[in-house]
Amino acid sequence: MTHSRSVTVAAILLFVYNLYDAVQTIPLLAQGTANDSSLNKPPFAVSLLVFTLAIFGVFAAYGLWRNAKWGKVLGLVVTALNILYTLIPLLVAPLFIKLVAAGFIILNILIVVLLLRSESAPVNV
Amino acid sequence: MRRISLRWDANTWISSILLVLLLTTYMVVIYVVVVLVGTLPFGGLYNDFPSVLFRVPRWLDLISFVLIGITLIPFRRWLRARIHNLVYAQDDVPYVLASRVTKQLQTMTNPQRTLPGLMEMIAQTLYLPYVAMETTLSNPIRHYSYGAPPAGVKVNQYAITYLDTPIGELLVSARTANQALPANYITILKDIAQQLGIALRAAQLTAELQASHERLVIAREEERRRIRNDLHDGLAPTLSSLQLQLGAVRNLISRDPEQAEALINGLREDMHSATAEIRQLVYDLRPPMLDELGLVGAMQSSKFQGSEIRVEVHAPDPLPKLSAAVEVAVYRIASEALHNVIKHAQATTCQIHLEVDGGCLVLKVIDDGISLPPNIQTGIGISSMKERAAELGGTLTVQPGEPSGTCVFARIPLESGCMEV
Repeated sequence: MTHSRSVTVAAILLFVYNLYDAVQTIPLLAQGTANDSSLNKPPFAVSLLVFTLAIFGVFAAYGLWRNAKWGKVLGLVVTALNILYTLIPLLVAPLFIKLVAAGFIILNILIVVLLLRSESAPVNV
Repeated sequence: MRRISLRWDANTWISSILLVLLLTTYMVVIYVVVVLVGTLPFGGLYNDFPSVLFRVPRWLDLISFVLIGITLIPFRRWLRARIHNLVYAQDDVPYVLASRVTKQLQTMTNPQRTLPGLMEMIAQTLYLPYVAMETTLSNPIRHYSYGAPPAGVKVNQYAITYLDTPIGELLVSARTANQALPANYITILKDIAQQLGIALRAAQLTAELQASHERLVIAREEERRRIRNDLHDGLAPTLSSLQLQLGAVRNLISRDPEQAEALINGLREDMHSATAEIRQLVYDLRPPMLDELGLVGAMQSSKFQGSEIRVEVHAPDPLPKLSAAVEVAVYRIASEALHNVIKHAQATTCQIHLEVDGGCLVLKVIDDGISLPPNIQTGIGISSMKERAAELGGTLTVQPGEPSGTCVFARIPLESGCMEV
């Protein structure tokens, strides 16, 4: 089984990003629903969704590493959803958080491009 | 014709969902980026989500919508092609397909039964809407297909050949008008076309062999029927008549010896003609001279040659051992050719050459008379000579001789399978 370089890089980026996401939401999940009305903390449901998405992202990274079709499909879905929910802090958060969110969005866009770019281009017969 | 319904296929659902999700993400990203860039000079947006969306100036909405409108269609086209390749083009599909095609073709004895199913299998394995093939080996041209090409989609053609001779075409259409087949699909389809060429030719040869067997059986049964009829209609009544006359002779021999003697003389003539009839029957089965004198000796005999022209027979000494079928075929061909020379060629000499060349017996009958007219219609004699040669896997041609006259050239394999393809 050979890895295209694009898929390899995408797998590594997806794994690292989603592992970070999963790790950083664990303390929020540990707090449970307490302080859900606080502006500095996302609602528990959102933290749970992000955590779940991150776990799927880790699985997708494994699938990408094995060059499986399901890994590519799951990776695209997870990355697209990551971009969508990261757009919220990009819109309303303070500048520093905005910059971090922008960085994360660029990273996810890069993953999408790497996954789609790895497919062989159609051949004109 | 059945059509592949891609609409409810799992891969179609996956590619549709991916396309919608990524297009939505794209539109949202464009909108957010435009709003962000547009509000940054004014301090940005710092309110709760989603109420902040109602505070976005309308002109920013307009700019983002225009930007999305301009870029959406080209982006969708690019995205759709990539997603299609991701979902439908699998690395192992060509190998799976090649294996399945090989298995089906190995057991193909009747193309009319196997090929429609093969077209369906190729179409379903590669998720193609239309796969068809045409073969020119049969007359009329046979067409096998599965599905139909979508409107506006180009149908690709791959030649099916056997020994560099085109014998058909494999026709395949892509899934949509703006999407071509992946490179690995094209490679496997070309390989399948080659396999089809070999398999079709093998099936054709099998069919020809079967037909040849049937012709042999029919010819054998026809021959038996001819012999039966000759015996039943000719010889049997003659022998019955002889028996009756013998009975009459027995009755007359004491009462009227003279009449009995006359009857006996008649009986002798009848016996003579019956014997001649039996000899002719035997000759028709196999000329007795072949057993008595061998092929060369039989050709050199006066009975074969007649007295009208001078006939010279040239053959290697000794001639290799020939099968009974080859001996009779060569003898009959030479006999018919000599008969034509005597009847039509106005020749003075006729030469019969026998040679062994590359596992085949070569017969040449050359005369020094007038040549055949250039556009002569093949008569029964030449046709029967060609059939005799073809029955044994050989060939026969009639060509002008040098410097004049005609040459009948026959090439008959001594053993089956020795003829060049």
